[in-house]
Amino acid sequence: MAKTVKKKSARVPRRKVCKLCLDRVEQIDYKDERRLMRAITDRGKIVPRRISGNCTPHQAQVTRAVKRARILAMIPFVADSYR
Amino acid sequence: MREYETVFILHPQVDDAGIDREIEAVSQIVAGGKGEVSGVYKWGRRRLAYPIRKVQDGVYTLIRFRAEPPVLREIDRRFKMNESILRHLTTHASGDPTAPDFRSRDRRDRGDRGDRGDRGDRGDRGRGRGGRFDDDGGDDADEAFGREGRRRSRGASGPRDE
Ligand SMILES: [Zn+2]
Repeated sequence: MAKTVKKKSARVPRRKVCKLCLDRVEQIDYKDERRLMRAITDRGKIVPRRISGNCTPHQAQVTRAVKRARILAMIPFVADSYR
Repeated sequence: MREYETVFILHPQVDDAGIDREIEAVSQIVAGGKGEVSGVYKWGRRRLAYPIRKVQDGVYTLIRFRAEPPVLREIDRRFKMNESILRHLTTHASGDPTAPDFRSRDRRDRGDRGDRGDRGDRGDRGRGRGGRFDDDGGDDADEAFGREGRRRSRGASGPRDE
């Protein structure tokens, strides 16, 4: 029984661009809670670069800001529902 | 001298006079170290993202000042001894010092996700690094920093893990 040659669905990899670069965001502030909420998952984890598409400098800034905001209880370490 | 900012969270039972006392205490330390306070921003009482010492709320204050490093150490030392300080953090001054908009933390304001399970942050892991993400990770990417509102559309498609 010959294996049917499955046509690989052609998935064109799109180059992700750093949204923060696009928006010309220079500094990510740990006090910018709105932005940070979008940088973490429902669980409270930092969205990885491979998903967010952030460039290295921006991702580093995001990470730092998230960690600071966590210390100040502005955003969760772990989402309530998983504690 | 660099400009710094200190955010401290006071126990919710501390009254206004108590808040001012702490602000005054920091100002004293800064002045004593030949620095100067450049701004005080009372954010007021806010809900904590997680309980600290069994309390759910805290009174936030941010103080901006210019000072030499020893001042920072002294502030840190004093805060650590102070029972009514739930948390504190000193950083280089940057960004908007006024009270951030906290509403976004409230789940209800994030689009009524209620008790819906997590989409499984890591449910995707097994699928390897092969870049599958461009398809089904699309939402995530947008979500990371995209305009608001995309999250809502994800619906129940994500795998649940409970
Ligand atoms: Zn970037």
